[in-house]
Amino acid sequence: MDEQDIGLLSLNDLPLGARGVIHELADDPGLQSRMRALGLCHGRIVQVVRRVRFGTTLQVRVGNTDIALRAGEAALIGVEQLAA
Amino acid sequence: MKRLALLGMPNTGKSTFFNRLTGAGARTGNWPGVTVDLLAAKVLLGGDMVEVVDLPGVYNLDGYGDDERVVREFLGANPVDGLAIITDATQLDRQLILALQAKSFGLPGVLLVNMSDEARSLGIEIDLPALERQLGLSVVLLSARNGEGMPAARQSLTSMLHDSQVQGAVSPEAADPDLADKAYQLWSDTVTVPTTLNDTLTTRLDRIMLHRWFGLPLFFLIMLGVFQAVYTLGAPLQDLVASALDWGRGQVLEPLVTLLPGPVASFILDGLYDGIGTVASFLPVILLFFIFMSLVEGSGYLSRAAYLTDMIMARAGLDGRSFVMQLMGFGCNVPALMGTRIMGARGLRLLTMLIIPFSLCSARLQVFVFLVTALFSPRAAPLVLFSLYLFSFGTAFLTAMLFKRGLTHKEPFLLELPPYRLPVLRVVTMRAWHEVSHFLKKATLFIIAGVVLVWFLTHYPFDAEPASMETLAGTLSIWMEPLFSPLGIDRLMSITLLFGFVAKEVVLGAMAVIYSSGDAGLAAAVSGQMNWIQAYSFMLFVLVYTPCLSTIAVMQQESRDWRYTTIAVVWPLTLAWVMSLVFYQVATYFWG
Ligand SMILES: Nc1nc2c(ncn2[C@@H]2O[C@H](COP(=O)(O)OP(=O)(O)O)[C@@H](O)[C@H]2O)c(=O)[nH]1
Repeated sequence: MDEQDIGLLSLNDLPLGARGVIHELADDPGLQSRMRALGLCHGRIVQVVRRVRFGTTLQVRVGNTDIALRAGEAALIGVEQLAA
Repeated sequence: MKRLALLGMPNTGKSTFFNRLTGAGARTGNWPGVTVDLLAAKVLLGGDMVEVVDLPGVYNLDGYGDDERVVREFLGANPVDGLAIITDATQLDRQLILALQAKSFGLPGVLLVNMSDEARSLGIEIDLPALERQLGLSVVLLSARNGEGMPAARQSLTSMLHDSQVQGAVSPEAADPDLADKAYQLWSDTVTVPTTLNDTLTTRLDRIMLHRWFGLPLFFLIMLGVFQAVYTLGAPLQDLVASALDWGRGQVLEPLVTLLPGPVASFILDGLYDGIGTVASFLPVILLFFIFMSLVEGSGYLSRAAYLTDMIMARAGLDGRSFVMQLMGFGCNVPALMGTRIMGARGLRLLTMLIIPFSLCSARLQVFVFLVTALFSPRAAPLVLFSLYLFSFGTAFLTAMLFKRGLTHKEPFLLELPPYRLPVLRVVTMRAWHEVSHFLKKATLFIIAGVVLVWFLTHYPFDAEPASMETLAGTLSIWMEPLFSPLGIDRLMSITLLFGFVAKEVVLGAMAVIYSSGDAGLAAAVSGQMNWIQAYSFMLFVLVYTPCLSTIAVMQQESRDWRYTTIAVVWPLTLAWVMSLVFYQVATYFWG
């Protein structure tokens, strides 16, 4: 399936409170395995919980795990937004 | 003796479990192939003595972090009879991956599913027999905090070790990328979670603690509280240690050494004993610092503090935890430097350790308050002090900007925000105690050697007046004069800088000796000797150059890299010199 078809967007662009299915992770193997260990894996549902004021760091939730990550890392994660 | 290694992701309650399993007898020690000390204890399991080793908490075994490397190196160089893999029952969806990875080494293992109390109240149900069957490991549900399930855990570990035949080191290879999917599948098959997990205590607390407007003020309030707790409780304890040492000196040591020749007596009193005193004076704050920091960390707040302050620090290549340690450094740099160990990534740690010494600690504050009171008007004094704090932050920021390229260039920021939890006091105090003994073990010799060296410089030749121009220090100050006179720092004051290298606490005492003024007349003596421009230049230098020998000892102990430690000493010295020079020359030109 083409990326365009499923409307893949970066985790950064997922609106606050919205949920999405993860389709892409960082290419770097080290970073990728850290993402997986935190629960950010292909096929899992991630939700944007919060963005700090003035900052680009965001808080997301996968399962029962909360994760803080910078926009730079979030940009490497491709998600398909789920309808509310 | 059989050996059991404890493996688990961070925040799974690994320390709490270790503490419960092993009690008070744990010690940190060296291991072949590993560059950091690990905590280990001997316990009786089913009639046999077993050595239990607490490995650092890691997210995976193939990762790039410092802690991951330590675990790999440990398992690679030290035969282990079995692994206890500890996980958080509420986050098994992602934590089973570590169990699968560990299993792939072929080592016997037991899966300990901790936080059973939380899982129960969240309504999470785990089909233990199915999990055991599919995983091929025995699984025990427990709560390390309240002790539930501990007998079963002991039982399982005992029988695993009893049956264990394998005794060989393993080399963890790169993880199979499908492992995460397998782990998730395993979890879906064996764990049921109620559909809405949303309004947990943590979520509700976070609405306040991470609030858009109140989050940062709350952070500063909490830090202020911790800071006050550590250092206001620490001060009387330090005084107590100091008076005990004074008593020992006056009542025991001085009468004893009167029989010895002068130089030997002086060596024992002003060299060795003062060195021991320097080491001892840090123990109360290190203990308190780690008690309170472990509370903040164990409660889950520390990573939130990092998240909240991340935007301030990201620019400088640091993260929020660096900021917390930098703030704590305003009390005392030494425990703050040791506290950087909570950051897994080495580059980040090294960069943070480079900036902490710029935090204006209480020992320097004492010198500044004295000089500012002696040389500035009451109206100017607070502003002068405030400007020093600005320089403190400024130099730290500048240093981070300059060195981030080399140290933290590409480090990602991806931080777990663990649920809020109540720390166990016994675990917290134990941890603090281990930090104190670690400091004693690693830094004592270095600090005493440094104190003895400065003693020698300021006392040799022994017929000269201590710290006078006739001593080695005096000679040194003559050589250094071309360096210091452009800063407005005269030879006498440059000798006090030499003392200040040992500890800033002794600077005022050294001045009193050098100006032979006694403590009472010192203010008058000093204000007669220098003008405000010289005093400010001197303070700038004191602010920026090496805070004390103990910080150097700790930087070496933590980095294990002499090159790094050398840079960490030379760079602030250079910066101190340049800043004082610029200030003195410019100020003299305009106001001199
Ligand atoms: N509710 C609950 N909390 C626990 C349990 N075990 C540990 N904790 C808490 O979880 C936090 C982290 O524990 P700690 O042992 O420091 O975790 P580590 O990072 O894995 O070493 C602390 O506040 C502990 O008191 C448990 O079984 N149940």
